[in-house]
Amino acid sequence: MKLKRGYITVQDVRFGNETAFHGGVLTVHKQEMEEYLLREDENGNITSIELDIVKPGENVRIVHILDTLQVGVKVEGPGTFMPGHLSDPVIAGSGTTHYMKNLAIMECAELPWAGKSALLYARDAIVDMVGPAAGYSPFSETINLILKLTLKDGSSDLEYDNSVRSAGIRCSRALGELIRDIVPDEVEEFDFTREVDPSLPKIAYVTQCQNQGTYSNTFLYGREVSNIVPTILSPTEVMDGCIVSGNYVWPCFKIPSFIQANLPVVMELARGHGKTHNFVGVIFDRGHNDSHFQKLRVANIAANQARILGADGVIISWEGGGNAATDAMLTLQVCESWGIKAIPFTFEFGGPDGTEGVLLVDDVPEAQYVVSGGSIEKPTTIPKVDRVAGGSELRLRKEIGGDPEPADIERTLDVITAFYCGANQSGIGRLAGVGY
Amino acid sequence: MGKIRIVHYINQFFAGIGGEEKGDAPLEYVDGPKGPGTGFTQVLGAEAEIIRTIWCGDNRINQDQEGVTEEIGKLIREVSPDVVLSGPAFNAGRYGLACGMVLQICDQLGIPALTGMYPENPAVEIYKRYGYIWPTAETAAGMRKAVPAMAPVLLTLGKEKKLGPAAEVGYIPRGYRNNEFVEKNAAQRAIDMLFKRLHGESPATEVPLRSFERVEPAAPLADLKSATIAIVTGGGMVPKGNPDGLKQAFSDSFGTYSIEGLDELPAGDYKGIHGGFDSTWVDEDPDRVVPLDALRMLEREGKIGKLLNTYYSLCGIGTNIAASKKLGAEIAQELKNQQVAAAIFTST
Repeated sequence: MKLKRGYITVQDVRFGNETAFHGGVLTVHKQEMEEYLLREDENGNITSIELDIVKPGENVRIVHILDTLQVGVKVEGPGTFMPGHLSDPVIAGSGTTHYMKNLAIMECAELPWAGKSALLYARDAIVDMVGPAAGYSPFSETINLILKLTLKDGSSDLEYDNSVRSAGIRCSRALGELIRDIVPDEVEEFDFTREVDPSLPKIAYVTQCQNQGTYSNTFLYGREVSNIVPTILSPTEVMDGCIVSGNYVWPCFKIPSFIQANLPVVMELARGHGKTHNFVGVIFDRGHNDSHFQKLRVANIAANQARILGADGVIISWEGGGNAATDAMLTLQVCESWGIKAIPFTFEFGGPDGTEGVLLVDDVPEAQYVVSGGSIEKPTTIPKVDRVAGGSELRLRKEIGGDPEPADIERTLDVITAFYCGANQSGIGRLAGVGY
Repeated sequence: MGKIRIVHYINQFFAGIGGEEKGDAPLEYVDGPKGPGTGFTQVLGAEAEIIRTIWCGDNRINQDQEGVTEEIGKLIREVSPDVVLSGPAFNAGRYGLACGMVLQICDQLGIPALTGMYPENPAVEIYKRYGYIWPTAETAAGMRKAVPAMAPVLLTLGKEKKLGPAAEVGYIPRGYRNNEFVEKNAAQRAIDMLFKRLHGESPATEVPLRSFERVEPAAPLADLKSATIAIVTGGGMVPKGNPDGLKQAFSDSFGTYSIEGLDELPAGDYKGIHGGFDSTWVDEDPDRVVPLDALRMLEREGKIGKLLNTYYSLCGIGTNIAASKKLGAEIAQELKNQQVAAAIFTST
């Protein structure tokens, strides 16, 4: 496949009397956009929508973040950006797509905690735009267009989930139309149809998503992947947003849709394709399989896909906490046993000073080379902020009640699980555990 | 800034008192360099000086650890050095321990300290947290290499009071790990590492190699009919309202709940709080994770002696190994105190 990505840099976002894009400035007609998204919400699960703009450097804390999306539009070629969501599930990844750079759409809502599950409820995700926790999230560096949603009582988790995601996707699509005919500031072309020098090493990427039920799901071409068998994707399909996140359970461990369409390993390997190596494909997979049998089965099939692709080496990463580490480590083990060199990157443990116990949840002796994405056990104090966006309160620790507390005050969190993308599982962050 | 002031600790051998036969040599000092300190002084140049050298017989310090280390502490404090050097001890056992004790003394005094040892010297594991240990050769033949390598590190430590990351500076990792922002993101670093391997190199791992302990299973019970059996669950089943405020992940405590007089855990009275699995189905029937119904049946049939009338619960998720070991040991001790012969662990 061959995909041209055109990037249009958003220098500023403001509310105004029209929704338009001129000279790097995005203007949004606030009321019109709010009314449009509300009107389109099929079953009226959303009772109100309020747009907000948060910019880098502002002393703002964003809370209740569910998913974050990029603005993109398919300019030429089959499918849509984020195919299968309010559009047909046809294979994307070829032609031309335009993307807004520097802008993220954030769905924020205090989802009702009506469900009974101790896993499947939205935990409060935090992005601090400045201060000691800002570096945990790549979205402290983007202009964020917040969709603050309120939801009616009494709907099912599935309905809330659909309504929230659809609102975000509609907003991305509507703004995407503004850049359809704009000449991009920057173009990258990814051509996987050309012959590649056969002497270059072949590299694949195994990316394991989280999918444990509504509120922790990941979608491939519009459908959640509970029963997925490891599947080969072209890097360009991934760049066109064929993977969309509906994962709201543990903020630090999730990979938002925005990042799924820009997976750092995919982008990096695609940029060097044909020059330093042959990027033979993405193997998309899910972790948290239910038993050792299931984990072993999936690990073997995923590794076998890498073998069929002729990979000499693979990068392995996973979304979600401890359970999923086992699936990934088994995949690594099978790869290595077949002579495919495998490098994982992962968050680590170790207690506040790094000295406590074993640093990983699971391990295999073949994992001799491991990249650290940083420790999740570092107590972090977040200061009082001038303003809170996306909501005004935090609900922490549902298991002891989770009563709402003011979100703007200073507080110390003993682990970093509430920080959005804090466990660095997409590899996008420069955070690392460094030994002393 | 004046010269960096260094106190140096050595043993009786390097002080020129004698070998093994002088292991009982008393604690003494001189205000100036001695033994390997003269070598260090040459390399250190004008920036630093060894203001005091302390020595003691290896047997004496190891036999009267408390007394001698207290004296060493006094001798160090008296001259308020910027940094303390001990050894290097190479692979010498008792000298290694003595140099490690000096790191510990300095840690208490808040004075940075450096020593040198062969990485497999047993004192490394015991004392590496208290100061910095430079890796040296196995024998004193390595002194010629160790001195010029350690001297600049000693200067840095004297000035900055701490050293940069182990992998950059070169000392033996102490076990501490910080979160830091590095130049490249994790994805780029993983790809770099993969390329190195594909080119036949052996790159340094960022997460040090780990070793999980293997726990030998206990011998089977000889007599189940007289045994007291306990239920321990990592599945996070607690009485409704979570009375002990257990955490749904990163456990730091456990709960004990009475099951006296109950034949099952009634739905509605108990709640699964585990943050890693969909607990809807265990809330519907709590016996799915605390199998009280089945065990009561076995108790009635006389197949087991009796069931302990308390079950233990926590959430086995995100809890690091050190915390898990601590909680596990506490639970095991309680079970032992109650003459429990075996425990059934249910997980999720």
